[in-house]
Order: sequence, then structure tokens, then C-alpha cells
Amino acid sequence: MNSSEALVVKDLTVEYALKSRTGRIQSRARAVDNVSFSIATGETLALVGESGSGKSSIANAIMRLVEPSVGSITVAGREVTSLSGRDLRESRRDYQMIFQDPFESIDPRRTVLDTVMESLIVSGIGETDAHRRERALAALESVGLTPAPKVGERFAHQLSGGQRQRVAIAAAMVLQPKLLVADEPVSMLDVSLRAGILRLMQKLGSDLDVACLFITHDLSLAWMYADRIAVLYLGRIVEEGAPADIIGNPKHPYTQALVSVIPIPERVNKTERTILTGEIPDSSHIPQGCRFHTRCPLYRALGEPASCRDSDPSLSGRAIHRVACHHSTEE
Amino acid sequence: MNLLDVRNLCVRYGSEQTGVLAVDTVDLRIGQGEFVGLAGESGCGKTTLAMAIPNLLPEGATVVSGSVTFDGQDITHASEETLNSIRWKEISVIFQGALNALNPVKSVGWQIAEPMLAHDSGLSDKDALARARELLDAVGISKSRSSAYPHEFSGGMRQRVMIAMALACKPKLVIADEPITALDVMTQAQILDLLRSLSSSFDLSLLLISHDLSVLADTCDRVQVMYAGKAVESGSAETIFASADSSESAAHPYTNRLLKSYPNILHERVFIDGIPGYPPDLSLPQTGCRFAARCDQVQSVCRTQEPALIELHTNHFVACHFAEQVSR
Repeated sequence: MNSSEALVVKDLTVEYALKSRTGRIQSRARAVDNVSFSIATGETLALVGESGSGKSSIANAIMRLVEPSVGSITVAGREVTSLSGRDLRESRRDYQMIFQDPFESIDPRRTVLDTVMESLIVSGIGETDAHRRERALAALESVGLTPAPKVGERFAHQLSGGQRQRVAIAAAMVLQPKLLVADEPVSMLDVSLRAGILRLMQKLGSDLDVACLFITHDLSLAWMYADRIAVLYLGRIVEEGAPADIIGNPKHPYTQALVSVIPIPERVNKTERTILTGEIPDSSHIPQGCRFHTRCPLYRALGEPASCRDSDPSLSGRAIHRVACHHSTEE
Repeated sequence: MNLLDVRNLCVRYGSEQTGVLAVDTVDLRIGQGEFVGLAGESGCGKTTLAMAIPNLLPEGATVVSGSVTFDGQDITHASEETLNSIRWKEISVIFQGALNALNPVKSVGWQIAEPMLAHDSGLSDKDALARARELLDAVGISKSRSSAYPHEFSGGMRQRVMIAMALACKPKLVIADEPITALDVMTQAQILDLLRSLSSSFDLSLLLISHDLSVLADTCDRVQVMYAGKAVESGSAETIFASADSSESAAHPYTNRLLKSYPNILHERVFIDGIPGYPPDLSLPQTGCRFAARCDQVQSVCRTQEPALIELHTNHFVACHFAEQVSR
């Protein structure tokens, strides 16, 4: 394995058992289906998809909040899926997460300073409380919550949404992790505040050389923020590449549709939008063959070729731009 | 004549002494068949302004002055009885957080039928349900699912049900408060497309509230931007979203900053700007332009004198001392 990889996810599958009222397993929903990707040190990969695409399941598997059914997850050279107990606790400082909802992710009974210090205590960092306090205050300064001693005394309900998200960032970054998993970190915030939070994440990330898995449903935000984009559909990466390629030259019909519905004021010809009908299928009933064929405009345009129904396409193409579609080049 | 004509409206939360003017002398006009977008950050007063129209303001909020004229009738201080005959039938509302607004123990068909039955005593249950099924069909849900319950639907489907419900009594005006905020991009596109297509078949006017200007661009004929309780700019969508080198484009620095708050994939890949700072605390007395503290083009006059809303070009209103020379 390349030692410069901060995260390597290999053949990851996450299944949830759907149980009947008596507790018998009736079927399994495969939220993540054989997904592999890696993120280099200091790099940001955006995972883009609709709800039901499996993006949060991937994040949760990396954070060890759900157990993967199959696959390995390696953070900073350490395989984490097999860890337990003390080793697991110790490994956690390497990968930290920022959640979507800053109103629910911060303990309302703790002060801001305690929230950040708690991170250090749990990870066993710092010799004394005074030492930890000093580091926590520095972390609050670094996320722009100043004067830190004063803001540190406040409780979550005394802060705005943007300030809370800053606290969450401070609590994650104070551990100097190798990987930051950010699950829709700005989608609950006012548009005017998003830039400030993202700039902060980017600055701290590059100062500390932290890799970032940036999860979002907003393709234009991923384009602006990430070094690389992976598009997820129903538990599978269907296209992966540089932001300029994904937006400027999308190859998968699903990505093409996603790009076409990004709202842009100046888009003159509004009829160019491809609005997919229906919704992402249930992950307990993944369609046979290509999982997108039931909604695919290209499949219909090509006269419903059998290959799309019969065989499941894998990611292929040049390493820098890969796509999982049997017919993407035939346009 | 405009379908809706709101003039100099002031809405206060709390008492006269300690209260906050959440909407401060604001006008809003919506023509027959027109789609108007209302934009601004949280707390700017956009929802308060919209809810004042059918007088659905929360407890503690009062219309202090100004008037609301709907379809030629002054309804500012209309009785509850009059308002009840207007709500749903003339003006319906798709509330924010509508995904949780459906009754979990009633079938969606019944929930759509209920406002019809409440407003038309001559209508039989059977006919109301039949019409509910047609409405489901109109919003893209199979008629056969009218007996299903809300938990059987996804977020996008529930939002479609809410739209069907809003259309049940054939209103002239629909007020939609952040109708797509919690939805996925593809579902957002589907819902906006649905609203557009319904506007012609149902002869609707729409007031669409969103904190995200980009959403309004494709959907609305006209856009009004609010900041800290004031209308700071309004104009046609073409004007507001025109590129900066056009002869006529957004002229208020706040609107321009909002426009730069989301990435534009047609432009160069640059980091979005956002707007540093926060809106002012309206419980304190305001002097000068309310945006002055966050404005990058602020001059001394901005801090002392409140700018009036002036008509910069025909139907393009701006409240900025330097509207004619704002640079982007």
C-alpha cells in the first residue's frame, strides 16, 4: 500500500438486516455495494449522491458507527475494521467526523470549552487539564471563535448554527486527525455562512495536511471544494474523476442528469435539463444488470439494450476519470 | 390590477416597548399568474411577511400598520370568518417543514379531501375523494395510492401530496415556504418542474420563499430580496440574475453578495465568497443602512442615513445610496 494514502477503502459492502415484527430477518438492504476508493494525504474527495445512495453508510462504516459486511478500511496505514477495545479507541483520533446538524451533534449540557476538551480526554491527549485547556483554547481561536476564553464558557444553545459548526470543527481538528469525514457540513446553514465554514475547513485541512471525505448532495459545491469527485448511485460509485471532468465532461448518464439540474441563473436554454423520473430504488431491491437502467435516459434512447439489463458494469477507463456504464462512449 | 398588493406592511413580535419589527414597511405585489420569489437569510422577515398575508402569524406577532389587499379586497384586519373563507380557497400555504406536516394516521387521499369538504358543504365524501385522486394524478402520484399513509411515501412524494393539498380548493395564490429545502437535487428539480407545469393548468400565482437565490432563478418571474426586515431590492428575474456586464443587473450590494454565495459551474472554479458577519440585532434601534456593517462598499452616509427604496429602472427597485454605481 502506498504510505501517502490517508484512507483506503477496499471492496466495502454494508448491509442492513430488515426484520419482521418477530425479529426474523426478512431481507437485507445493501446500502453500500462493493465500493473501493482512496484518499491521499491532504486530498479532498467529494462523495456525491442522493439520499439512499449510501453516502452516509460509507461515512458511518469508516467511523466504525456501523459494521461493514465485507471489505477493509485503512486509515493512515492501520486497518480499522478489525480493531476493538483500546486499539479502536486509540485509532479514533486519526479519523474525525463533522455531522450535518450542528444543533444535534453538540452536547447541550457542556460548555464549548468542555466539548473541545472532551475530545482530548477521550483520546488520552494532554498530561494535565491545564495543558488540555490550553490546546482547546488554541483550537477555538483557530476556528475563529474569539475571544476563546469567553466563547468557551457558552453553551451550544447560546450559539448560532455557524458558530456551532465551528465548535464541531474545533473538537475534530484539535486531535490533529489524518482524515476528516464531513457529512453535509454546510447544508443546514444559510448560504451566506457556507463559504466561511468551508474556507475554515480548507485552511485547517491544508495547515495540518488532513485528508477529507466531503459528503454532499450538492454537485456544484463538490466541484468547488474537492480535488476529486465520486458520484454514488444506489450503493455504487458510478463515476469518478476531477471536478472539471465531472462537471464539464460527465460520462455517466446519471452524472449528466445531475449536472443538468444544477440551478444556474444564466442557463439560457432551460430545456436542456434532464429531470429523471421516479426515485432512487429501494436498496433491498437493487435492479439486475446496471442498477441505473430503470431510470436511465441513455438506456431508453438506445432502444433498451439487453447488456444494461444483464450485466453489472464496473468502473473502467483512465485512472483519472472512470465510469461504470456499458454505453457511455456511444453518445 | 395586482392579485396581491401588500403596502407598507409592518409586523412586530412582542410588545410596543420591547418588541421587534420583523417586517418594516415592506411592499409586495403579485400579478395574476405571476411567480414571485422572496429571498434572504434566516431572520430577514420573509416568512413573517408571507404569513401575514393570510394572517397566519404566530402568537405574539401583530400587523402594526400597512395593508394587505387580495383580489381587490382589503383583508388586513379581516375577521377570522372572512379569513377562513379565503384560506385554502383563495390563498393556500405549503408550510416549511411540510415533510412532517402530514397527519400520520389519515390516508393521503383523505387529507387532500378534507379542505375541500370544509369549504364546500354541498360536496359528498365520495366526490371529494374522487377529486383528491385526480389531484394526486396531477402531481405525479398514481391514483391508486390515495389510500396510502404518509409513512409509505418518500420526502419528495410527501411534498407532492402537500402540493396537491394546497391545490385542492383551486386557490388563486399559493405561498410555498422553502418547499424544496430538505429534498435531494433531482427531487428539487422534479418539484420545481411540477410547480411550473401546474401554474398553467391551474392558473396559479405563486409566492416562493427560499434562502437560496439560485433556486428562484429558473422558477420565478420576479424576485424580491429582503434584509433585516426591509425589502432591499426587487426586479424581474432577468434583471436580478443578469450578468454584471449587462445594461441592467442586480444593484444592491447584498443581492450581489448573495449571488456570489453559491458556486457557478459556468464560471471559473473559484471559492464562493459568502458574506462575513451577521445581520443586525433588530431589538436594537437601527440607524442608516442595515447592511452597512457587512457591506464592502460602505460610505459614511450609509451609517447615518437610511436609503429609500427607489425605482432605478422600470419595475426595478433598490434601496442603496449607491445603487447606480455598485460594482461587483
